Amino acid sequence: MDTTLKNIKMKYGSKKVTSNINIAKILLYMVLTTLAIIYLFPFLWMIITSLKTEKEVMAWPPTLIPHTLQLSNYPDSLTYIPFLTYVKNTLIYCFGSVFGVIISSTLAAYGFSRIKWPERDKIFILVLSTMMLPMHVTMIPKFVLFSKIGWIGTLKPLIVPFFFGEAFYIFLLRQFFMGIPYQLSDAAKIDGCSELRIFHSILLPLVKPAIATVALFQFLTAWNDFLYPLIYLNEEAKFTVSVGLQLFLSRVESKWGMLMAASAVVTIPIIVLFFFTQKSFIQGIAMTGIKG
Amino acid sequence: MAFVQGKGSREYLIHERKKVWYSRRLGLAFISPWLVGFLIFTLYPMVSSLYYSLNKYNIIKPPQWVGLRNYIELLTDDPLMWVAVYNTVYYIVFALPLQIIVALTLAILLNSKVKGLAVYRTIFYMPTIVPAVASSILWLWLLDPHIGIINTLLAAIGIDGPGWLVNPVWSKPALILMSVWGVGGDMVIYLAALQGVPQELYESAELDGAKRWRKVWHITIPMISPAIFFCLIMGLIAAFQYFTQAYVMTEGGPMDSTLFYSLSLYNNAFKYYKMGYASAQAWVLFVIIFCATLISYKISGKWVHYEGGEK
Amino acid sequence: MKIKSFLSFLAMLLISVMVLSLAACGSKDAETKNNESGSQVTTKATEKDKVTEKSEPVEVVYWHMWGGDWKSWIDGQVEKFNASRSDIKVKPLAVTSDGETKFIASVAGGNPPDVFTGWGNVIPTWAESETIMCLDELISKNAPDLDDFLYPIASDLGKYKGKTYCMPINLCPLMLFWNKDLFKEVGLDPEKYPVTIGDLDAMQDKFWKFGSKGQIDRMGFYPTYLRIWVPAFGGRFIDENNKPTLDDKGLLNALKWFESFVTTKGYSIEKIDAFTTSIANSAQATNPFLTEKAAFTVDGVWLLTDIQNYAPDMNYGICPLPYSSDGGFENANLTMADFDVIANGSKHPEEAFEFLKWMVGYGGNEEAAGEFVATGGNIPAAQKVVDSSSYKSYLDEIPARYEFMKALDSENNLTYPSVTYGTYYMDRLEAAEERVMHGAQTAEEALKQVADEVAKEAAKQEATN
Repeated sequence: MDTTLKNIKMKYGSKKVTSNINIAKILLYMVLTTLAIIYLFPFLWMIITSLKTEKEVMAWPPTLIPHTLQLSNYPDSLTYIPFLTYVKNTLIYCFGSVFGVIISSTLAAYGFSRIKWPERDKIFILVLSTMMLPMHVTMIPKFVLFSKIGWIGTLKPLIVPFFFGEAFYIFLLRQFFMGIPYQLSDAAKIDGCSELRIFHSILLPLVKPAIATVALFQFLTAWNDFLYPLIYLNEEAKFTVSVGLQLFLSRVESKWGMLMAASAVVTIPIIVLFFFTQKSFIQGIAMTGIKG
Repeated sequence: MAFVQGKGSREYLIHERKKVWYSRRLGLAFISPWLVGFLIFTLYPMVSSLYYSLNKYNIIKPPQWVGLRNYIELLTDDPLMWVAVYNTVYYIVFALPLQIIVALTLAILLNSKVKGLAVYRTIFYMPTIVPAVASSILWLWLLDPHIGIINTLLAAIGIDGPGWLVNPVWSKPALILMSVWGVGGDMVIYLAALQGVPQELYESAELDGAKRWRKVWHITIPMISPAIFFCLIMGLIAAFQYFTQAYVMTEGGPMDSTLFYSLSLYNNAFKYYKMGYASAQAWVLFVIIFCATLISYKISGKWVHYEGGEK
Repeated sequence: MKIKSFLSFLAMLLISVMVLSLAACGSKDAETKNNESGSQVTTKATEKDKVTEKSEPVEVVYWHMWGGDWKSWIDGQVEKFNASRSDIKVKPLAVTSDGETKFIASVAGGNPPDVFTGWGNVIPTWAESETIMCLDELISKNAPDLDDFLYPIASDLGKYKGKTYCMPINLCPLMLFWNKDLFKEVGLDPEKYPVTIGDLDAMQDKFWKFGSKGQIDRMGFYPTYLRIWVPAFGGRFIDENNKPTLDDKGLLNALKWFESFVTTKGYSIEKIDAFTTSIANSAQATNPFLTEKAAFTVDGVWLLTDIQNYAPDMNYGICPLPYSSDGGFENANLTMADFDVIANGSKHPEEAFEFLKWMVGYGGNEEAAGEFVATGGNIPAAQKVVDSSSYKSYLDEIPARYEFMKALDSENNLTYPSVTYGTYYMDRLEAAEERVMHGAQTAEEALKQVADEVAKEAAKQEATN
């Protein structure tokens, strides 16, 4: 009985229904719920803090339910900084970079996996190596480069480079491309399809979950990006949300309640979006029927 | 394989060479956006930093050539360097396996017909959505030795919680704990990969009488091994460059216990204005990461299985 | 199932429409931004324009690192300045974190701000690396009697290798606060404050209270930030030749005094860490001194405002930092300040300097400057500003504020070491303090290690200069 219970904890999914499974399911729910609470807790703490007064934020022992509700943190925080402007700027950055990165990275990933050419793997290592140099030493030369072409003060240095691919996504998509049988492309080639045709008609649809994942990741990366917008933007009106949030911090006394309220406002729409669109990342087209 | 006119070896060779040229052009065409971007936005900064590493450079005044002196000093005369290396290796050894196991477990657990699946998946992914500023501050509060909820809860069950981030022994474990909180990204990748595992494989295995654990070990994991490999490599590269949380939350303390390699690099570059020295640090790290990646790559052949077949 | 996917599709459609419209506005914004004087190319055009039409106010770009409420009042002050001048328009930008990094990057990139407000120990490095402009020429032209205007300690602060590189806009002296009510409670004369370190040691011992689990419920005093105590022990960081003095007796005595708290006095470092490093200490509302969990504290003028706001009924006193009877100096402070610099590469140094003068109160600006410093809860850098009616009303509001003036007159004040490796030096000293307090090293060992580290660093800096 013990070993069965232990095995059940490594569940991955099953259609069979036996009497053992009922206990197993309960255990599964218990494990999941406990983990969920642990994962959810910091976020809950963020919401709780956003409803407190500054004094209660620092109270000891910490209060789980605020003694005095300060709902005003929410409208206050959204007017304390020009929130809507920041959201607008951030969305431009997000959608622009997502669009650019999907096009360029899928193309590159295809070239690195579905076509066999001699220097391919060596250049792919070059792609990977671009992620291996800590960004702090390339930051200044990059900044100087952008200064010289007059892009500093705009969103261009943030968005444009993503139209030229990003190693992380190229790697990810390449892995997914490599999971698709080559017979598919070979068959299409015999039928006279060009590589480009195979690329967008056959391969792309098959890696939709991966593409959706890329879109999600890049959106969040752009959304939460702090250092680069800070360095490249010179006007408060052009700030993105993450940079704007730092205006709540102060050497003397930071506005914790408002900071958490603003963070909550910034986070909740994305959570909702993720909740409703997650199927597209997760569900894939069934692979049956392709083999044989 | 197409037929070639005249199977004499010379024509065959020319044909083969042409095929190679054709596929090379094709490959380059597909990666051309990346290549152009690389040459403009990436190569120049990388080469610049390599150049700076051979100079004494404080960002504003022109660099002064010192040759390999930065490197020699870094490897022979800088005790903080080895502290940083130790801290970083410590982090990698504990955080990376933990992250992979937790993410994988979560993904596998969530890949079943559990009620409220969408809710669970959202919850586990949420940490990645919270802005870095907010989550760093959140964890500073949670781990606060005095007013933090973690120690308060521990006290409720009679445990005297450690100082966490202010205790030199517990500071790294605290940060590792925090990193596990953020595995939602890997989890989503595994979930996407799990969709590609054909159900027939499980069904035929069950017919053969395979138990659950065997199914996971012999079907699930090999089938999503490309995704695991990806997360391993990316996790490795990221762990070597672990920076933000240490910078925001502990500034390398207490007693340099959270002085990670990238943080030490940052201090040298932007606090002490020794950009040349920091660049040398960066390139040493580059070599280390490169070798680690190459080794992982070589070993990967043994356990990573590409369903598409090798090409 | 179908409804869900339709909804997602709809969501995507809406988002794309939204984005396209935003992008349309966004690119227009970007274009107009590009046409402004942000890039090298267009600036040259503006220069040419300047020659022909001087009626356009000159834009002075100003970056600072204040967020929260302070940002609001900086913006207000800048508005006041802009209203008072038709020829200059200051444009402020708040960069609360990584402000110095952004500043350096912009200087490297060739389009820095004109004015930057900083703090800390960066002047030597910035001066040496030509990140900031030497102000001597501007001073001799526009403010020749500046040295007379500023307090001597403020004048010294701004100098590196004899030249002025920054303008201190306020000073931040520290003093010892004590809780008179608690004094009475433990049987001490509430008016008799500790004059020497010995006094402090004896007095603070009476206040410690521990809870059932051994945690600290109340403490007397616990020293932090070694550097601020060094002057009180008669110590110094560098000698006349700018060489580090890690064997200085005062420096050692200061660190030994710190050490005594965890050795001879026997307080537990874990308990103290838990008590002192909590975030709660940084929030005025729960500062241990304000909640009467600590009998003493060392802090600046701003604490007086917080006492008024959060603990108005507390009876407290202020005195200079106790000094060591073994070679220490009375009324000795480590002088810290906020300062303005002009970036190298600034397009309008003259106008930038006008703003600098205004901020510090020179040339008739005492009232504005007085208000500026008062709202920030600091001490002005010049006597005339202290005498202004706006600052006087600030002082009169809480008369205890006058006490802080005493710290300025002292001859025993010390500044940060004016060497390019100054930040490194202070960092390693802080690390040494940590090691000593955690029992990893004795004071002598720790200082010896810092001596080695700093000597190496100093040699490296000199080597290829």
